[in-house]
Amino acid sequence: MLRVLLLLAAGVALGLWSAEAVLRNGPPFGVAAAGPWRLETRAGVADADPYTRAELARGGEIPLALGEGLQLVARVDDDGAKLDSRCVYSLGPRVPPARFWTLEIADRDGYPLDNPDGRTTFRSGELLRSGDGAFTIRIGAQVQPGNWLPVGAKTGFELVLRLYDTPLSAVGDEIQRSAVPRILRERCS
Amino acid sequence: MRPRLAPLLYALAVVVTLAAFVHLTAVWLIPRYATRDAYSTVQRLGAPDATIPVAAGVDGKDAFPLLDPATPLAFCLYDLTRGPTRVTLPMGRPGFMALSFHASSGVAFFALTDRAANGGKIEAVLVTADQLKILQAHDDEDHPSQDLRILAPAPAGFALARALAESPALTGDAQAAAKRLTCKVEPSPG
Repeated sequence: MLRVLLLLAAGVALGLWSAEAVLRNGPPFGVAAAGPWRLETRAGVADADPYTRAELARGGEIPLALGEGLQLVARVDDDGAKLDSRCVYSLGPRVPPARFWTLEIADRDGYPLDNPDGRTTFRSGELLRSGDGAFTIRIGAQVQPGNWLPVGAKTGFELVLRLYDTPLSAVGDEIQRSAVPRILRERCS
Repeated sequence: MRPRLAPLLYALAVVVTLAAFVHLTAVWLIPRYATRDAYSTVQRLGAPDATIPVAAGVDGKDAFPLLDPATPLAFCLYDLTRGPTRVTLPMGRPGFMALSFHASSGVAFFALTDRAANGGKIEAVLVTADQLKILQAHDDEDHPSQDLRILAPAPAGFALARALAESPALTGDAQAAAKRLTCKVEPSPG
């Protein structure tokens, strides 16, 4: 009898743990990845799958609707290492075509990561570009020349790239690796 | 060895089957019982017929995760059991603006941007399947309705206005633009 109860308990625990683990790392389906960037392709459509729905309900996020734009999230750099506020990263040289885009620095839960400058977002209109349209945004705690997005708290963070009014299609489409910006670690302190 | 292996495999099969069942049930039940999902938060913040601005920024904790600080939002709740609901977002400014529709389940089921604006506004009428039939029955064939009718997947949800502030200085302007969103129950036809 005890053995049966133990088996049942193990089954329930394994089921709950696996559901939690899967949702913590984002839904297993409907995710397009391009380099370090992840895009939940089913978040902004009416027929979202149960995993995407559960993840949205759990996180409390209002997804960008398909037709408004796309949201790409990166938690790691191009080498797969977690983004760390003690390091300086360079992001570029281009983003997928969009009428307007913003790059936000957020904490692991998706809330703006406070910093002394009170500036958590870089907008495409503020960008300094070189002659061929390429750009580099430096992300780090220390003041950087050119395009700079400050990092405040000494924690991990994520980068959120939002493309508004973009011709890039998310549903069923792979995003080309060359279309998304690279995130390269320059140095760490 | 053999007699001991069979009960072990049997036990493993029981655990894995039960785990799979619990896993799928949990994923399926989460949206039904979530209290922090977007629609629950919207309901706490809002009231029917009111347009509520959503502040995004680093001052205090935002109401929702993953809000873009560059795009102030405003929402209004709709309840189609009260009748078809006309959702209007006047433009009044250049730049990116969007109107999206979210069901109580959290999914975004439709969106329009300023490119779809007509007569200086983005406008749509949200209806249920039954309401759509009634409206179509009352349509005048010689003067067809100019309304964009959108079939909502569930009677309750919210409409969200998004106005982009191209620079931080334009945030106030974008907030004011998003707040011009309205949700109004339509008078019944006929």
